[in-house]
Amino acid sequence: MTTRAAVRLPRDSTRQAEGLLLGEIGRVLNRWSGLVILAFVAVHVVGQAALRVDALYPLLTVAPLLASFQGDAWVRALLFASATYHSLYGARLIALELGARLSQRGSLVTTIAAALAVALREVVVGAWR
Amino acid sequence: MSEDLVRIERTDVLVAGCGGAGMRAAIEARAKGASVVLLAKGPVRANHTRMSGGRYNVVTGLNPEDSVDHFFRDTITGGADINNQVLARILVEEALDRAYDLESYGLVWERKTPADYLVVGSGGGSRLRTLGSFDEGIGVSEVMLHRSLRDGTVIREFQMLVDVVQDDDRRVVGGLVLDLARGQWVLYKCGALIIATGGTSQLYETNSGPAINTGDGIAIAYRAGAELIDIEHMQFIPIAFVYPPSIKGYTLTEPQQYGMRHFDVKGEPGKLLNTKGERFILKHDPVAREGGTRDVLARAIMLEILEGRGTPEGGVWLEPDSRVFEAFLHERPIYAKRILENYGERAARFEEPFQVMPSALYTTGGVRIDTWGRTTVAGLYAAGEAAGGVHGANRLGGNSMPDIQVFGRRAGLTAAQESLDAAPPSKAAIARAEARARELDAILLRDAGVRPPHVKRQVQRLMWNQVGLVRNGAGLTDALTRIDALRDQVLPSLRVTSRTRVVNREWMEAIELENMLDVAEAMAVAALARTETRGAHYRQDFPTRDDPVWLANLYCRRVSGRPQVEKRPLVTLTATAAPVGAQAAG
Amino acid sequence: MTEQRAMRVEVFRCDPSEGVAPHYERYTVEGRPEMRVLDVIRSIYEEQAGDLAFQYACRNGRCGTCGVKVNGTPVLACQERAKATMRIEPLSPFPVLRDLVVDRGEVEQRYLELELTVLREAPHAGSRDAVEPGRAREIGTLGSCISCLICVSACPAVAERPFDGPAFMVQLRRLNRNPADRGPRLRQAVEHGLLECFGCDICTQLCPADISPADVIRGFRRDLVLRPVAHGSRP
Repeated sequence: MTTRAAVRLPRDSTRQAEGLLLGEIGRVLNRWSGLVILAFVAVHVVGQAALRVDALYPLLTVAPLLASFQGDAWVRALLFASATYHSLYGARLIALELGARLSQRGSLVTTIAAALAVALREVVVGAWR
Repeated sequence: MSEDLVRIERTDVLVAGCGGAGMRAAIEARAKGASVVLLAKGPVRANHTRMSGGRYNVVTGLNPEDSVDHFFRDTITGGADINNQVLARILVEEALDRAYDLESYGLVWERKTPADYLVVGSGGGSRLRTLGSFDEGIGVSEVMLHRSLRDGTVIREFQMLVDVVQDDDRRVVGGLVLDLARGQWVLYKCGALIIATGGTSQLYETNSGPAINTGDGIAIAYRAGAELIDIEHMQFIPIAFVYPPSIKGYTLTEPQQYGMRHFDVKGEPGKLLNTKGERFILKHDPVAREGGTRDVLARAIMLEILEGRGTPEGGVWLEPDSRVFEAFLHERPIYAKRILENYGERAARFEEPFQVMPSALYTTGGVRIDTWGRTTVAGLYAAGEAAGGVHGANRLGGNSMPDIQVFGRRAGLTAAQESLDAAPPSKAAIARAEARARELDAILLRDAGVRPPHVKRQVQRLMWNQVGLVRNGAGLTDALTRIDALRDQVLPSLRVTSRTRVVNREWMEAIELENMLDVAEAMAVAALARTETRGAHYRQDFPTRDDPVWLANLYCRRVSGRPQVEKRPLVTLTATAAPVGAQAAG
Repeated sequence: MTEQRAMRVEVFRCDPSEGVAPHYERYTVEGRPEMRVLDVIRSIYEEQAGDLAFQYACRNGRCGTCGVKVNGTPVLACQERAKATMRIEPLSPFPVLRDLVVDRGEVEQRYLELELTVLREAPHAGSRDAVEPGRAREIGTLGSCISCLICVSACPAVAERPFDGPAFMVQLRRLNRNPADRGPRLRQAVEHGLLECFGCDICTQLCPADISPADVIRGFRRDLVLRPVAHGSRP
């Protein structure tokens, strides 16, 4: 270990198959979070429509949750976490495209942490309610 | 045997070897309008040029203290005065144009200012004259590959040249090639065949070359009747990795790179120390010290190790100058990375000494060529590490890159012109090729015998111990006996594990072994004959240089199946250049 | 690994020429300190399976020909440290010749189509080209690409989208940044999938030559937006 402020050496590339593939994790989470958002919107639209359109009302007898699921703390946690993650990840991509120098590990950890924090808040506050 | 055994193809020029020399020959032959097929024994990026640091010695005019005469002098002195001076003169004169050629292909020389290349030193250079690109040998090989592709050279991978096809007058009219990817035989009819297959580093247990450099082309040329020259001279890079086994033997360039000597000919190089902390080079070369030529350095290190003053792992210590760490990191980051990955961070930062040992790097001799790349066999040409004469008894660091460009081009040019004279192979020639193919196919069918990998290791250990850095008459004679035994008893009984024809490594190694033994025998015979020490060739029983008797070259030819050597006077600038195939005027 | 112990290795085997279907064979190899995956493969070849087909040449990460997948990740066999449990497979998505040896013919064909040599307006003047030192360094960095194709193998966009792969973008950029080159590199990059990149940086993480193909792609994309190119000419 060197203690003085040192010139950076090239990295050690002999353990590539040992670490996590951060890019894969980030990308896959982005995909899932996007799907969650889309799924939420789709279900929510159908549910709200069922409330307001007579022809669709029977759907609610089959699946009453359609209109109310967005009140569930876990559903909101999942949605908000996904929206947070997806937005931050998107912002990160744009920043990188524009030339920003971001640490891959640091920005990914921050993004996941923010999403988890948002989710946690929903669950805690929701449970308290 | 069925006619399916050997597929026939045709080209004007056939190049065996995918390194810098082969590529440059192909580019030039294409420029002259010839059809060119270039054969790579494996993937096209597997070659020795790739592994090189890419340092290029040349007089650019940027150093007012340097001149072509100085460069020539350094080359001859570095070669222990037995270089072919005509070839060496061509090297130093044409290096600049070839450097510009590389630039035109897309290689970008490092520079301090937009207009001026960065010029540094290299071992044995009396003046700074070395260029480099940041991508090193990788860059050289890549730009040449893409240029060759674009110019229309047909590049075929996994094609191993096994022998040449000769007509009754011994003119080379084709190449017998094993398509390793399909396990099929191909006979390339060609007007000219260029051997650019690199050197013999794989003959040695500790080496810095690629796995494919088993001396194939040199052996093929030798079997075809071509003369070899200076084949006893094998260059060992003085400093290479000692551990771990995966990288053991890979070059760490030269000690001068690790000290101020790299930037100032009066500066100190990185220091070499034995386990007693002594700077042992001072016993051998107090003037140039660790900034001298590779032959003296490698021998000095080897002797310290053999005499018990080396480390338990088998090396000595290199103490780098921490002041040049950042410059080294900036100039050679790939090397810094490897030092980090194998020796740790402190060594990579030049904060502590690290272990080094000599390693077989470069075949200084090889197939004899004239100024235009012709060997002593009509229709057969050679260039690059496979050719000999340019570097004498020892090659200067940084001289191989211009060599492959200068003589690659000359061989390609000549081959293209002379391929037009060629007549197609006779039926007899084709029959001989088919017989050879059948002979090698038979290896696949043997049920009992010994597997090639173990024999290969035996040969490598034998060569390292007895035909390596430290030689003597008894060891060389014994080596010859063992090589004979291997050839007579072991070679005919090599067997393979599987009869599959596709990418059969054991089969390939069995064929390589014949080449390795042919070259090993020639090297040992020539080393035994040269009863003096010169350049990389060190005889314990004749430890001094003997100019009155040995300021000459040894030429080697196959006579009745054995190497026969003949001493001949030097080719100097003042004497008439020897016509190919005849003895030089005395 | 730094201590001696037995390694459990699963190696992909197949031989299309002899009708041997893809399967895995298990080997146990005694570990030596500091072994790399290539050392393990060579040990299996020398001691246990003489018919194993594998490719290597330089042993130190410069030729780029020893690429394999280890536990699902594409790596250079000569560089990657051996692990106690390993599954070794040929580099996907290339066609397999036998066992661990793949055929890169299609890649070379695509390289050929891209004409990755300096396309000059006029022949080289026979004197030094003028290039800014920083630019020389940049081109040299891009030129350090060893075409190991690890990035192409690992790229999720290559798997899903019409994208040739990060390595092609690096090669095009190498020419694009050379002041003497007149080729339509930006157009070629777009045609070969520049816009398909996901920006995931897996290529950057795995590149053995310390290049960031993803950053190269971002640079190209910025050029596309800020300096749009007319058909056939360079920006």
